[in-house]
Amino acid sequence: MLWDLAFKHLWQRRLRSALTILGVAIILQTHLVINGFKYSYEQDVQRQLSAFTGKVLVRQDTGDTLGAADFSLTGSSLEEETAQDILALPGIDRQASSAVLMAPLARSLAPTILVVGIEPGHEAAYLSGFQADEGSTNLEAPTSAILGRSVAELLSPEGEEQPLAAGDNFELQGQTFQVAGALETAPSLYNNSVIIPLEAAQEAFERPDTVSAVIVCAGQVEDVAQIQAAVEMGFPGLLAISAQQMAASVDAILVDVRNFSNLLTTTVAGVAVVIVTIVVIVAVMEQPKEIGTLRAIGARRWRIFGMVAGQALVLCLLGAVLALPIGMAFLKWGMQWEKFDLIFIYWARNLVWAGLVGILAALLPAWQAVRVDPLEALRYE
Amino acid sequence: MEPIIETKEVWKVYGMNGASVEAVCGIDLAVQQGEFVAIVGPSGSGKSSLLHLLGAMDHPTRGEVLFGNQPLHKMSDAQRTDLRAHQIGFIFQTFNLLPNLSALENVEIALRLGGAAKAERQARPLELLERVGLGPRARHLPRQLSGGERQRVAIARALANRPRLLLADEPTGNLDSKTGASLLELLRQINRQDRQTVVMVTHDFRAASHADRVLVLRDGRIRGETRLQGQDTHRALGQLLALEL
Repeated sequence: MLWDLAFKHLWQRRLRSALTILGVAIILQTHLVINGFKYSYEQDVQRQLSAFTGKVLVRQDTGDTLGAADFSLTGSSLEEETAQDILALPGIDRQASSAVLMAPLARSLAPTILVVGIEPGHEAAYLSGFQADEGSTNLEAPTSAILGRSVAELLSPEGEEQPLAAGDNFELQGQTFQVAGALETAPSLYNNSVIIPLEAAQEAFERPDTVSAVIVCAGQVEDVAQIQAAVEMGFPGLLAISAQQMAASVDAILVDVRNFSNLLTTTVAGVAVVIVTIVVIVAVMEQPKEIGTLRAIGARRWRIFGMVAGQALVLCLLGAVLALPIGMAFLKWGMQWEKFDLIFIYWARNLVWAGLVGILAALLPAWQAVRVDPLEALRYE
Repeated sequence: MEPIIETKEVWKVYGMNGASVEAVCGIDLAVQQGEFVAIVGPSGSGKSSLLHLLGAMDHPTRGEVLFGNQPLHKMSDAQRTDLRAHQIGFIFQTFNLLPNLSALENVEIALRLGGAAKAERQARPLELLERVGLGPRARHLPRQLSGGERQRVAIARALANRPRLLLADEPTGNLDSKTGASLLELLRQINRQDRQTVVMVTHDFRAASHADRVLVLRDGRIRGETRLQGQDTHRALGQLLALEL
């Protein structure tokens, strides 16, 4: 291989090479970030989904397209009395089931805080095994609240660096609540939730005697279908959605997310290929005499191909290496993201991507280079 | 004795804007082992086209070129490339050193292309540069060398794989007369000491006077031939000028 020649040619044109590497790095960090978010989103949705395993979610049939995949349930409303009738159906584990009211808290800044009203003593219906880092997950008093990890930070008084902890008070919709416990890190739905007693939520959001949905836990897994059928028969206008149906619906959404993300990353990779191709074509056009000389003194075509491909690969791989700190900085300071273990996995994949981009970007210029006639070496300037 | 390279009724015709230009017209030529042959002629006489054919870089329109009795036109591109790497050394008018490589690396790359072993690739470049008087400047880049020095590096590179044939295309064309003369002296010395076969094309009769045999080319045909072996430069020049007239 004539990789040393490839490297020296790039070194000879340091500014151009550095700018190209920077361009490739910026493009590849976009690739890195998009993939990171996609993976993170999928994991989050899957964890949320797993929390509903063995349960039936009963909600208003609003006819919207989100349907089963709408975990926030804020668009659904039903009479509390109806909810209690559902909870009285046979085969239901009443302790692990609850009527819930969900309402977004009006805030000017993202993320949206979701207020979840739940029947005291039935917290497990919503929490599904997520534990508190400190305090408890019991809504013992009418003004108790369980906070998601992000919410504990978001609702802390201005100027306070510490997140709210068990025993702290905070204001919500003009009412004072006391923190019973703060949840461990959980999917984003839980991280951004404030869980309060159902009655307090109905009062805070002025929705007396109404709930958003019913989370039904079957006493036996095989009872799920029977409960679904009973709800659909006895309560027209409601949807009874099993975890399997939720998963199917979520999968459909994830396919769209994956397709969109793949479209973006492919476009980004295409831009990288074009940029590197242009730079390497210019490099080939600058050195027909050198290439002709190499051919004249015995360099086979594959060696010339390798030399040109080497230039494209060096540009892409160095760009991929540089993409890591740029991507991490972007995520850390731009998006307060800290899942860097995930980023390293995607960075490793990015290196492979960069190699593919380099090979693709090398094809056209390398084809041009191998066509250089050895007689080019003998032409006089 | 079997010639190293031989042309048989070789023609090279170029098509240009619908018209054809005959650059080489039915040349028969045989170069023996150890010979120093100069092909001399004015610009447009076809000497460069002939050199391209001898160097396995171009195909004849008609006739054939044999290298060690092997017809070049029957070889694949890869075979002709390998032939250039192992059996033919090139010296170009414009030196054609790779600008980003030092003198030493320029010689080493020829060895690499020729498939030389690592030990040889490490030792031989310096040995060759010392032979052409450039040992102390081995680490210099081409731009740090004078024209004469660059051409000496090119000679060292051409000799790297111990080629059977050394082809020189106007090797003194870009040099002043004094530097050119010392370079030709070096070529002559290599030819005599190593029995290295050299074919040189030039428009300069003074340069051609260093050869054993001179062919005069005009309009693509050999118009005259003379042997100069053993003659001093003045007599040889006189003989060549008479041939040209």
